[in-house]
Parts: sequence; structure tokens; C-alpha cells
Amino acid sequence: MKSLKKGVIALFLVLVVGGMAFAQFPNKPLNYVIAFNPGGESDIFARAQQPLLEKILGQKVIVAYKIGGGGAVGWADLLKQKTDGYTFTGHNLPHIILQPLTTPNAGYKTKEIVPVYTFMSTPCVLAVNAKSPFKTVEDFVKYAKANPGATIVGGSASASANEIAQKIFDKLAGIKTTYIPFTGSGDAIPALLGNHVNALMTYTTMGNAYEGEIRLLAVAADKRVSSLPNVPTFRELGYDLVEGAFRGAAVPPGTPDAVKKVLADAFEKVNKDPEFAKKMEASGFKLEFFGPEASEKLVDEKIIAYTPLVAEFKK
Amino acid sequence: MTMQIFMESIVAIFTFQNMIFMLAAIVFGMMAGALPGFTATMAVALMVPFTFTMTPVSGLITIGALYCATVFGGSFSAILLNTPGTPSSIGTCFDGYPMARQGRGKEAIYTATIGSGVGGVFGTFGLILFAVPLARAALRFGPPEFFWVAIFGLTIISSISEESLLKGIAAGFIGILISMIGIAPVGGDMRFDFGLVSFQGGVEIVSVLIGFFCIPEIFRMAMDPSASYSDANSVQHEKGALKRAFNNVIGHPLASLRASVLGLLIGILPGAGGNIANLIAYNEAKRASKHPETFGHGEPQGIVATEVSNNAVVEGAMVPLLALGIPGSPPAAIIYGALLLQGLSPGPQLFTRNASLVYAFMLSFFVVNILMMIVGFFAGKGMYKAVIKVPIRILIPTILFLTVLGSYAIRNNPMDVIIMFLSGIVGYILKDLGFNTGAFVLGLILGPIAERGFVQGLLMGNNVSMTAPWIIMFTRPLSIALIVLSVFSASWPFIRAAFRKKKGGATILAAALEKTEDPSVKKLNTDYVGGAIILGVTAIFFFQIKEWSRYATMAPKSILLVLALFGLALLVKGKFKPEMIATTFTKVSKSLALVIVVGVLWVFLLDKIGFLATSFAAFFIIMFAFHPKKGAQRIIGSTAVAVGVIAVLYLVFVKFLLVSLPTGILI
Repeated sequence: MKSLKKGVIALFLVLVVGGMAFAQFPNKPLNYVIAFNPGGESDIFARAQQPLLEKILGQKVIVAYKIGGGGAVGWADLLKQKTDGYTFTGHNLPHIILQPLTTPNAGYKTKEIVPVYTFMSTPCVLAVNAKSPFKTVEDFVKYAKANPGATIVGGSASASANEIAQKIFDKLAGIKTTYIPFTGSGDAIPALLGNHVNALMTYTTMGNAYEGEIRLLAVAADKRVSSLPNVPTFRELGYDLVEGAFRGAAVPPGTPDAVKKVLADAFEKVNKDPEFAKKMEASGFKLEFFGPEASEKLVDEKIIAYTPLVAEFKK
Repeated sequence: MTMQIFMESIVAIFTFQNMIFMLAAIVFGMMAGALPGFTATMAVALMVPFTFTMTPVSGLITIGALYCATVFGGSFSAILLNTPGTPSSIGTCFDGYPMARQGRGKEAIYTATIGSGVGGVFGTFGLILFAVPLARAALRFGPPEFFWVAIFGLTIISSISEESLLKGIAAGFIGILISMIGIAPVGGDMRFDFGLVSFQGGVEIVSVLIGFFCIPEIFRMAMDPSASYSDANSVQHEKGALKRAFNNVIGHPLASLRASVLGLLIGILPGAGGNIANLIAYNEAKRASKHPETFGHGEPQGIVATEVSNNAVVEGAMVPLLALGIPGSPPAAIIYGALLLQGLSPGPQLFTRNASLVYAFMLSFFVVNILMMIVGFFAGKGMYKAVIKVPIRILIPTILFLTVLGSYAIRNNPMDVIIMFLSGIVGYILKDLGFNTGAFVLGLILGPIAERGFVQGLLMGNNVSMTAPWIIMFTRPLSIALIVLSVFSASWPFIRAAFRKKKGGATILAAALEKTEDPSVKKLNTDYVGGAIILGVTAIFFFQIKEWSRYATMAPKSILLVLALFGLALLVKGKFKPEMIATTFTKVSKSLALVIVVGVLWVFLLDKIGFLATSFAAFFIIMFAFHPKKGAQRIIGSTAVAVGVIAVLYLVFVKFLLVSLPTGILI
């Protein structure tokens, strides 16, 4: 009897202590670091997640900014943070892959940015001014063929999903366009509205906002995007172009799996909140549900896809 | 706008709840703005989550109030501490701080308060009446135009560095060079990072501003910690300060109109904001003035120009946001996000789909600016009294602590704190050598805009000519207009000097005589020293050039070439017509040496030992050293003040403004 009693107590203790250890995270405010300017896609999404995350995790979630070097400063800083999960940073594909590939001293390696969840993506879209003579992708390609190099395509930043998509599209369509990087998706819009560029390679989020002012010719997603039902995919038009930016949250290497799971579950719950999902999809964000392992797999796949591309474009 | 929408909007604004929200936002914004290093962008970003619980109208009104108040609050620290609280108040330091030192601080603060309100009201008129056509017109500014706008801004250098144009331009180019540290705007190459990851984000302008403007003043105070804050008898000047302030603004309606139009127009341009507008407005006020020589020595019209213009920028930035859904400034970008999250899609259709909301938001700026003036009178008076009453020996470590806190808070980067303090030391020396730190700051702010415009313009030029793409910079009508303006602005000081000579050069001659009075003081050939420094900097940066892509290398190489030429020109000038200055930076009092040593240790050990531990130690050492009493009283007194000040500011930043401060080995 005695031993049984002891056993029960021991089991109870294990459960309680184990449960406590599990319930312990999070027991203080968390820092959600954004490596880009406030007002950008990462920030807008984080701000929408913030109240829901606080409700789910039962702790304050403080959105902080660590801006610079196209995100590099924030990611290099993530490596210096404690591995307790209280600080996580928004990550961005292809940025965290392309930066270490193109810069000798990015301050981090792709695999050091450990994703806990990848919660959304914004596929690339080819957009023109609503008054532009280009009504279809074919019109655009025809013009670009007649004016090699003189067709100007704007986009957000160098070595970004926008630039990659523009380069791949050039190759697929057999054209040569000139890419102008702007400081962000928002900065590129005035250039299109003011007719300073012929087209923009931008993200789906820009589609709804400028309805009536810009025309979307095609979207680089595997199937049509729910917020833009009338925009064909590049694949439908015969160009095998699927490209976009994926965003999620990451922790420094060595963070315990249990902690990662708590965060991943929280992000997943946020995404499954019907009101949140409705609002974000209407704004052009595509919700994604990549857990820790699936996210790492996604990164590995993208590394394989991007490495030869970078080598090719560098020439 | 129909009458019905107008009435709907008015009703929507004037609720008790909205008034409370506005007042709270104004108080919070003023405080945030007055803290150096805490910008409008950060304040607005901080407030956004709170607005989700409000109705869209209340949320927008609150954010708008906050934006206005933060920009205005920056003038407090500019006037009282010579530190622009936000980059929109750089020019306010030029005359505000001299006024404060002359004992006219109250007048300066009241002038800034009224000016800000007036600028905001003017701006709101512009926003409501011309939003859509102005936003359409702004779209005509493409990369080539932005390049020329930046060049136009840079021509201010010629008027602020009349004493030595060579040094002024060289300082501007060094500013541009420093702005190139970090990621290249086209090509994405990492430039001039000197192998340090912390340099990848580039040099933060706010840190340099704090260092250049505030640290030299702390050093000056530290030369003699027992001196008083202002030179003259301030009580005498305090009488009728409000009346004089009213006269400064209301008595010069044309000056206010000019500054607010400039602010509004610059605010509308996406990518250009208050940091540029206040300097251009300052320059135009000086140009239009009958006595431009008073500027920089406590001329209230200088404050009117900067503060009127920077608050008109706020409404200007709303023009493209509300009319087209294009955020014209970083805080506007956050408001864009807030609109999106409120379920409203910001864009051209906002005006038609949510007319009453948009008009309520725009009309609320009238209410905000008037409320802001009222609150500003009390807050300004309080801050002025606080700074005047605190003895210099306590002011020194307190301001120093603020600069450390502020330069860290801006990007949570310990490197920024180091840059801040080092640029303070550099600024202290350069000023003595006859280099204009304002010119340097202009280069730092406008450099990236100029480079981006130039390189993007060149790429765009492929559309015009594949063989000579640069031609696009000179062919577009708006560009040509901007080129003409730039040439005029750059040569204006010479035109005016020629006019003056005709009228009679007596005053200039007298000033020249005054300079050469005391032959016993040892003077330095600052042209030799300056030339050598410039060539040194050029060499250091030249050897950092790596194999960058073509468009990333173009601008740095040209700037380095120009700098080398200016360095040589200064050496030649030093041989034939040197500028001899009796420098003072070589004379360092014991108390100043202590502050410098403590400061350097503080900024370098900050993230290694811990923020609180280093701050307390540094604060205590300075307090203890400058304490007039002896024994236990000295220790207790120093500890009490150090703990008190640090605790209050720490709580404000960490608990209220949610800045996470670094912890090292200790705390």
C-alpha cells in the first residue's frame, strides 16, 4: 500500500512539475521583433496578430522593431537572443535565403533562423497602370520584345521575391526588361500611378487597395487567389511562374521544441480565427499553415531552388 | 463635400469620448516628441494597437492627434536642450536654443506652440480643399525629380555656411558618404560596413543628430558645471513673452503662409517629410528676411519657419494617403496599416466609400491643432521652468542619460549609442574648425534620396535612350524647373552679397575688423587641418570599396572623387588664404575630461555590463564629482538624484514606451 501511495504521489509530482514546466511558458511578456519598417506587410500582419496572440498566450506581446539592411540587422540580432522563446522575430522568404547567398557578411546563416511557424504568403503579381495600353500579359510581352531593355519593371528591393519573379519571367517569356528596386511595395506604387515605370512586379496585397487605379495582369500563384478571382495565374497563361514572399516567426537555434510548439500552436490558432482570416484574406494575404518541421522543409526546398538562380543572375 | 457629410463629420468628431482620446494622445505625443530619439513613427506605431478597440473614427482621430503632437513636442527639446526631439525640429535648434540661452526660452516655446498650431490649421485647409488635385500632381515626381529635390535641399548648404563655403560643401559630401553605409538602394550590396554587422543598417540619423547638437552643449556645460543655464536675466525677458510670441507668428502672416505652403507641399511628396521641410522653410525665411544675419543668433522667425512648416507636413502627408492610398511618410504608412486593420481599404475609393469618415478625420485636425496649442502653453511653460530651475550639475548627467536612452530606443541597437557619443565628440571638434554641422546633417538626410533618385533615374532612362540613359535627368519639365530653382538657391548668397556691397559694405568691414583684434591668441590654420581630415576620411572609405555591382558603386565613387578634390582645394586655400581660428577644443577642463571619459565608458560598456548598472554608475560619478558639499551629504545626495532620475526615465521608457533595454552581466 505504502509503495502504491508513494507511486501515486510520485506520479502526481511528475505530472504537476511536468505540467508546470509546460505551463510555465509563457509567464512573462513576449517580444515580437519586426525586421522591417512599420506599415509594411510584416508589420501590418503582426499588428493584426498581436491582440489574438495575447489572448491565446495569456501574456502581453510587445511588437518591437529592429530595422535595417533589408531585414539583416534584425535577423543577425535574433542569434544573440536567449533561446527561451520569449523573443521571436518575423522571418521572410526569400530574404533569409537570398541575403546570405548574395552578401559575404550577412551576419547570419539561413539555417540559423529557426522557423516556428510560417503563417502567410503574398504571391507576386504583374501590375500596370489602369490607363496602360497593356490589357493582357501578351500585350506586355509583345511590347517588351519590341523594346528590349527599355521596358521598365519596378518592384520592392533588390534580391527580393519581386526581383526573382521578374528575372524568371524574363527568361520564360524570352524578353529583357530593366528592374528598378524601390524601398518597399508601398514606395513602388506612386511610380506606377505616375507612369514612371511600365509595370510593377509587386504583391497581391497591392491588388485590392488600388482598385480602379492599377490593373493586375497575372498572379504568380499555383492557383487563383481568393481576393483576386478575376486575375489569371501565370500558369494558366503558359508561364510556369510561381513566386512570392512567405512570412512567419523564427527563434534562435537551440530553442526547446516544447517552447516552439507553444508558439506554433498560438500562431496556428490565430490563423484559424474566422474573423482574422476573413480580414487578412480580403487584404490580399494568403494564409499558410506551416508548422516548425514543415517550415524548415519549405526553407530547404527554397534553398535548392534559389541557389542556381542566384549564380545565374550574378553573371 | 456636401453639407450633410459635413454635419455628419462634425457630429462624429465632437463626442466626449473623442475629446478625451485627443487630449490623451496630445499629452502622450508631446512627451514622446520631447524625448530625443523617440520619433513620431514610433509613437504612432505604439498607439495603433490601442485604436483597434475604438471605432474607426475615434481611432483615426486619436492617431492623427498623436502624430501632430509628437512633431510639435520635438520643439521643446530643440529649444531647451539644443536637441531636436524629432528630425522635424532640427532647424528649431538654430534659433530656439540661442533664445533660451539669452533667457528668452519662454518666448521661444510660446512661438513654437503658436507656430505649430497655425501651421497645422493652414495645412488642414490645404488638405481639405486640395487633397485630390495635389495628390495627382505629386505623382508626377518620379526618380529624376526626387534627385533634383534632394539637390535643391542641398543648396541650403551655400546659405548656412557663408563663412567658409569650401568647408560647408565638404561637410555636406561627408554626410552623403556616411549615409551610404549599409545596404545599397539598387543592387542590394552591403557597402562600407567595415566588417561590422551592426553597420548593416547604416548610420541612424537621429543618433547623429543627438550627438551633433546635444553632446557639444553638454560639453560646454561641463566646462564649468557651476555656471547657470542662461546668460541673461531671464525674469526680465519672461514678461510679455506670450504677447511677443503671438506677434512673432500672427504679426507675420506672410511668413507663416510661406512656411505652411512649403510644409504642405513637401509633406505631400512621398519619401520627403518634416526633416527636409523644416530646413527648407528655415532657409526660405532667412532668404526673405531683411536682416538674415540675425538668423542663428536667436531670431524668432527661424522658429516660426520650422515649426509652422513641420506641422503642415503632417496634413500634407495625409494628402496622398487619403486621396490615393499612398503613405507619404513613415507615420502615414502606419496609419495605412491601421486603416487596413479597421477593415477599411485605404485607396482612391476611400473618399467615395467612406466619405464621412475621411472628412471627420480631416476636420479633426482643426480641433487637434487648437487643443494642442492650449495644452502646449501649459506643458511648455512647465518644461521651461523645470530646465531653468535644475542646476547645471544635475542637468549634465540627466541630459546625458536622455541621449543614451534616446539613441538606443530608436532602433534598439547599442551601436547607435556609440555612434551618438562619438559623433558628439567629432561635432564638438569640427565646429571649432569652422565646419558646419548643419551641412553635414543635410548630406546625411538628403544623400540617400539623391542617390536613390539618381540610380533609379538612370535605370528609368533606358526607356528614353539605351546609350545615354542619363539624359532623362535633364529633359523632363519638372526636372528642369527644379534645376533652375537649385541654381538660383545655390547662388543666392552671392547675389545678395553683391547687392549689399553696392549699398555699402561698412557693416561687413566692421565685422572683419572685429575678427582680427587680438594677435596674442594662438590660432590654427583650420584649412590645413580640415583638408587633411577630409583626405583621410576619403582614403579610409576608398579602401573599403569592394566588388559591388555597377549601380551600387557609381555614387560612392563620384562622391569620393569630389571629396578628394575638396580636400586638396582646402590645402591650397590654407597655403594662400587660410582661415585662422582660435580653437577651444584643445582646452579641456578637469570636469569636461571627466564627462568625456565617463561618457565613453558608458556607451561602450552599455550592452556588456547592462543598461541600468552602467547608467547608475555614470550618473552617480558625475553627480558626485560636481557636488558642492562634502561627506555623507554628498554621497546621499548624489545617490538619491541618480536613483530618482534613472527610475523615472526608466519606467517611462520601459513600462510606458515599451522599449526593451539591454541587460548584460549585471542589470
